[in-house]
Order: sequence, then structure tokens, then C-alpha cells
Amino acid sequence: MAVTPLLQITELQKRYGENSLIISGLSHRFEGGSATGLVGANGAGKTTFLRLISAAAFPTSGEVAFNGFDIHQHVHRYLQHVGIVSDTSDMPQFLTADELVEAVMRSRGVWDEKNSPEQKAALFDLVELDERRTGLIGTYSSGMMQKTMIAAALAGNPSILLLDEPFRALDESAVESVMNILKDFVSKGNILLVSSHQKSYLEALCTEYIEFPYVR
Amino acid sequence: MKSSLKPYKQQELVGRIQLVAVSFAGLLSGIGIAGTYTGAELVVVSRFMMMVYAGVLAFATPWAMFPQVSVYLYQSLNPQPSTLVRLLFRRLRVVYLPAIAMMLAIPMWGAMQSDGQAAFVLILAVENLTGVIGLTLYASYRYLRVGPVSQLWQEGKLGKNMLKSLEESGKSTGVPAGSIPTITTTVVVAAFGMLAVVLGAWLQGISGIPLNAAGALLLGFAGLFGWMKSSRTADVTFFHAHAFYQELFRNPGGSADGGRDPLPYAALYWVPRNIRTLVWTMLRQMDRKVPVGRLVITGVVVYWMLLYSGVQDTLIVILSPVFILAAKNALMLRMGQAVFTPVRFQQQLGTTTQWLLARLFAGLRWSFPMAAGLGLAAWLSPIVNSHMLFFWISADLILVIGTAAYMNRILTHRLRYQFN
Repeated sequence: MAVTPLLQITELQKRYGENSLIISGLSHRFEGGSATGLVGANGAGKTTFLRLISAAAFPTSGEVAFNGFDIHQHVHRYLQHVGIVSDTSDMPQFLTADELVEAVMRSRGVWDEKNSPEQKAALFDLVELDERRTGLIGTYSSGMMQKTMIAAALAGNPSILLLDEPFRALDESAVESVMNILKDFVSKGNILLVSSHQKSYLEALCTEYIEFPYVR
Repeated sequence: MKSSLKPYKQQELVGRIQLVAVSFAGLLSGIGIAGTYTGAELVVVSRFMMMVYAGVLAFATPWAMFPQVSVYLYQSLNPQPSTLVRLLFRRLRVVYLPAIAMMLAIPMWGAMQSDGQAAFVLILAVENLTGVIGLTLYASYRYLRVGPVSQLWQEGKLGKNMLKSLEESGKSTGVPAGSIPTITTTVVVAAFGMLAVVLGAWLQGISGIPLNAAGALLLGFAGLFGWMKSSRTADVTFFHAHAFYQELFRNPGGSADGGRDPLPYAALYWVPRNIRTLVWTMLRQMDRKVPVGRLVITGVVVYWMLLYSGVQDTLIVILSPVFILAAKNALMLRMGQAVFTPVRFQQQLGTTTQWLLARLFAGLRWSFPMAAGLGLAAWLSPIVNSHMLFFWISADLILVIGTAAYMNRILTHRLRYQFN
């Protein structure tokens, strides 16, 4: 039986260099089955927060623990459980979406030669990435890039999804599909953290919110 | 502020290291080629190498100039057309700097083998330098101008009709219509470059005065005149050419490998299982964009030809493979660029140690064929021995380890400083 994921943040603080605090005194407990919306104006600290809990940035002080271990001390172990849609299209430009998703599945140990090719195709169908999935990522439109990142985030069978503006550049039909995927993800007892400026999307998805700037 | 700039400085440093490495390879090649030649022999060797440069230039120029990662930044900053021209020549350094190093090393090294001849060396050095600059100016201008023309071929009726008639006559080219003007330019640049060398040699022969570079000078003037004439509209031509080559090289709408089968995962049975995926993502991208395999094959074949031609100089015999090894590993450094290995992709797929090992194995991929090619040379040639082979294999291992470690350090630092 899978362990229920638990992400515990304690007194998180972040400042860049000698600048003023971006985040301070943030403590929160994210349990399996929760969907949390990160809201706030541009530059309020949402992306910084997502970078901190995806271990791309390190806190000035405080701790982020996943199932009892400090994620910044065990980055690789933690990221095995995480799917990320970041604020930038950080993907290798000379791989295809098909190869990227396969690489994620293989690196997470969820690939098997018999069934995974079909699972991969089904995942692309879910996010509505058409046959151009076999073209180089560097040639994609911003919407296709976004769909690829979402597919790659889901491919490794994660228990946490960290999504920074996941609906950006998606057409209406794709937004609907992604919303359904995310609702299904949460209903299976996983943790979802999502930032977006589209309030209606967050309202349809989230049960709790953290408002930024968060400085206590 | 200092720390946030660090990754970008490191990326720039990688570019500089590559530039120094290929220039150094050019310098060593010049020394190796000059060998024990003196006097008139050096002139003949210089002409021959200038012809080789014309051929290299014809193929490498568009790849070196386009596409540019920072094109959106250029559009935002909207620099003067002259600045865009400077940026193009900056990108082209990787082609012309090693050529300059090589073409200057030939007379200089030759002079060291014999006494005096200062005036002769100076004249030949000036001729060689003029030759490289002239051919480069001409080739770069031709390729800049061919971009907009290629777009017409790619999207208009002319290209489609031509391809159709070729197919009907059973001579399918298998290339996009837009690449036909580029291929023609490749042939024209190579042919004119070589003819310019022949013209110079002929003029020198009939006049008795040093006119070796006269042909290249003429081409250079043609290129310079073209650049000056279009300097006010260089921005239009730059963005048009850039747009076309970006489409051509990134191949949107086409298959990623142009009909070839990409490297299968199972082919990496020689890589440890826990890093196999990382190596696979690197090698698939390299096969598409970094031609290490072609470099190694060409290098080994040229080396066999060198041995077959009866070269006796031990220095040339030992150093030539070292140039190929240096170039091979310098090319590997390109995999440290963000377009191939973005830092967050790296972080999500493996640990720092796994990536270090993966880079090591990816570097070793072409070491085996290279060692086999050199081993064959050691077996067949009386002048190459097993000690040399051991030296080359050791040198390659050291370079592979150094390259992997350096790439790892850069990417780890980039991750550490990018968001902190």
C-alpha cells in the first residue's frame, strides 16, 4: 500500500542576497488529497515559493520536509516523487516530447517495454499533444511546450505536483482536459500546489489557498 | 548580484574555452602540416590548405551563423544593423580563428626550420591572412543573402516545381526545396574559393611577384562591397536569413532525425543501467546537433591517408591524432549548453554523480572507434607503434574525464546560483 504523502513546511524564510525578505515565517502542512492555490500579484513570491519546494532554490532559513526527511538535504530522493511545471520552459530543445516523457519514466523506474509505450501515448492524448510529439521540442509553440511539461510532470507517477501557471498558453479545450487530469490526481490522495492568475481555474480545483506576499 | 551572474559568465567561459581549444588545434595543425617544409614548399602547402579552408567554409558558415539563441533579445534591444553584423562575425569566429592560427603557423613554423627568410615568411603570412579574411567575407555575405531567397524557394512555386520535376525524372533529392539555394551557395563558395587560390598561383607564376592572395582579395572585396552596400538594411536581411535557417535547421513539421533511425535505448547495453537514460538523452541530442561521429571518422580517415602518403616526421605522426581528440572533446563541451541540458531537467533526472558518470560514458562513445582506427594504423604502418597507441588512448581518457568533470561543475554551479 502506498504511503500517504505529507509535505511539512516549517518557518520558511527566503531572501535573495542582501535584499529584503520575499517569504518569512511560512509554516504549512500539505496532506495527501489536498489542492492548494498560490495567489498574489506579480513578483509577490509565488514562483520563489514553488522553486523552494521543488528544491531549485534553497531557503535562507526554515525547513521543507517530505514524509519526514528534509528535501534540501535529499534532493534526488525527493524529486523522485515530484512532477514539476516550472515558470520557464526548461526542456532539452533537441529531444522530442515523446523521448522526454520516456526519459522521465525510465529515470523514475516506471517504464516497462510492454505497456509503457501505450501509457505514454495515452498521456499525450490526455494533454492533447498531437502527432507533433515526435518533433523536436525546440520547434514547439508555447502551448505545445506547456503540454509537454505537463505530460513530463505526470509521467513519473508523482505524489506531488508543483505547477507554476500551468494553464498559460493552453487553448480552452486543453485547459478543460488538464483540469480533469488534476482533479483526478488529487482524488487519488496526492498533493497539488498550483499558482495561477486565473481565479476561476483555482476555484474549480483548490480547497485551500496561500496568499503572497507572505511575510510574518 | 555577483552570484546571479556567475552561471552566465561560466557559459561564456565554455564558449571561450571551445574557441581557444579549436584555435589551438588550428595552430598545432599548422605546425604539423608545415612539418619540415621550407621555401617554395610552404607556399604550395599554404595554397593547398587555403583550398581546404574554402571547402570547410562552404559547409560550416551557415551552421556557425544561424540560428542564434539570443535572437529575441536582439529584437528587444533592437541594436543598430551594424551591431547585428558584428554579432554574426563574432559567431563565425569558431570557423575563421582556427584557420588564421593554422595559416599563420605554417610560414612561422617553416621559418623556424630554416635560417632567416624573414621577408619571405612575412609575405607568406600576410598572403595567408588575406586569403582567410577574403574568403570569409565572401562566404558570410553569400550566406546572409541566400536566406531570403531560400524562403521563396521553400514556400513558393519555384522550389516545389523543381523538386516535382526531379522526382518525375527519378532523381529525388530528399531535401526541402528551401535548401536548394543553400546547397548551390555551398558549391559556389567552395568552387570560387578554390578558383581564387588557383588564380593567385597563376598570377604569381606569370608575374613573379607575390600575388598568391590576389584571387582571395578579389572575393574579399566582393564580399566587403556587398556588406557595405547592404549595411543599412542588414537588420532586415539578418532577421530574414535567421528566420529561414531556424526553420531549416530545427526542421519544424519534419521528423527529428530526417528519416534516419535515432539511437535505440537498447544499443546502450555497455552503459551502467542507473545512468543509461541520461546517456541516451545526451547521445540522441548529440547525433542531431553535435557531429562528433563524423569528426572522428573523417579525422581517422585523413590520418590513414597521411600515413599512406609516407609521412615520416614523428611529431606529425604523434600529434595529428591528438588534434582530433582535442576537437572531439571540445565538441562534447557543447552538451553543457542550456539548450541541451537545462539545469532543472538535469536536477529532475539524476544526481550530480550520475550526471558526471553519464557525461563520462557519453564522451567514451567515440573513444572505442577512434582507438580501433588508430590501432589499425599501428598494425599496418611501420612508423606507428603500440607506445603511441597507448599514449593516444591515455590522452583521450584524460580529456574525456576532464571534459565531463568541467561540464558537471559548470552545470552544478548554474543550478546552485540561478535561483539563489
